[in-house]
Amino acid sequence: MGIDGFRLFNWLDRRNDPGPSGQVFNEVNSTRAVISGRRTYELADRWQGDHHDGVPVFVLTHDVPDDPPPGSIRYVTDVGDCASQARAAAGDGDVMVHGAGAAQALLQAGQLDELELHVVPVLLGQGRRLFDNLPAEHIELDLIRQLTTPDVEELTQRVTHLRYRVRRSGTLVSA
Amino acid sequence: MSTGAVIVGRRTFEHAGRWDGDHHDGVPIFVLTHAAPEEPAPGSARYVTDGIESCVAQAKAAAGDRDILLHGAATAQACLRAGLLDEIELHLMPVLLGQGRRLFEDLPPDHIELELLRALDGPGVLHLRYRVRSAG
Repeated sequence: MGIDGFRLFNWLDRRNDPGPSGQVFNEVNSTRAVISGRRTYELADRWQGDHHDGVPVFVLTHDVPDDPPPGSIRYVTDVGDCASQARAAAGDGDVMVHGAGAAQALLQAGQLDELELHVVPVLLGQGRRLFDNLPAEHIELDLIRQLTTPDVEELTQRVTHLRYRVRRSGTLVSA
Repeated sequence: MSTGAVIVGRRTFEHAGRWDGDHHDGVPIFVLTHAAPEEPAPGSARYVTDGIESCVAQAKAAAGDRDILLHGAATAQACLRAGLLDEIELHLMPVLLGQGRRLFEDLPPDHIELELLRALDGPGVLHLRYRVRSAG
């Protein structure tokens, strides 16, 4: 995310509208657990301990803070542990993942099932890249949904929500 | 192919076998390069060594009312930096390559605003066309 990267979240201004952005936001809020990177977690002021509906939030971090985590938060230092704890907590529900670093770690670990991209029409020119530090092998995706926002009058505010399924490269073998 | 001229970076030009001198319909091909090869350019191709502005000016003159097709990441980036790119057509394929050259790199640190003009859904590919907003 570059300088003024919060521009990328302007589509959330329409989160309560009946259109595509509202639909995506409702899906986010029906997840039953959250995984977040430490950086995103701190930038979001730790969500005051509650991301939504009190669902458990697993914060992936190298250094667990000394002070106890607030509310529904817990800290996890291993990406595999983090994924399995979040899956267990979510039960039949989905797990939401926040932050480029956490998403990359989960992708590398073969733990990411889907990607939801919110493509905003701007080239930021600098900042953190969403797709970085990936394995050198290809990761195959399937586009499973595409939501456009043609009703938004201001063209620079039109967001395209793209949902991809991550294809498994083979059988996962636990060691 | 209805474009009236082609601009291409040297790397892409060589990768494509120089298109044997004809990209499509014999339209002029302007190859942006730091150093022109010794041998003359084949067919409709010509080498441009005096920079992106000159390259674009020559291509516009050649294309007349028609559009110009631009090939190659580095050349597109040079055009973007120089404020000369009018539209970007992305062909979004569902794969993370994990390494290689990036399409959006070496850009100015200021934002470049785009407008999504068109989204075409093809089999296994999504074609997104953006207009580049000129600064100011």
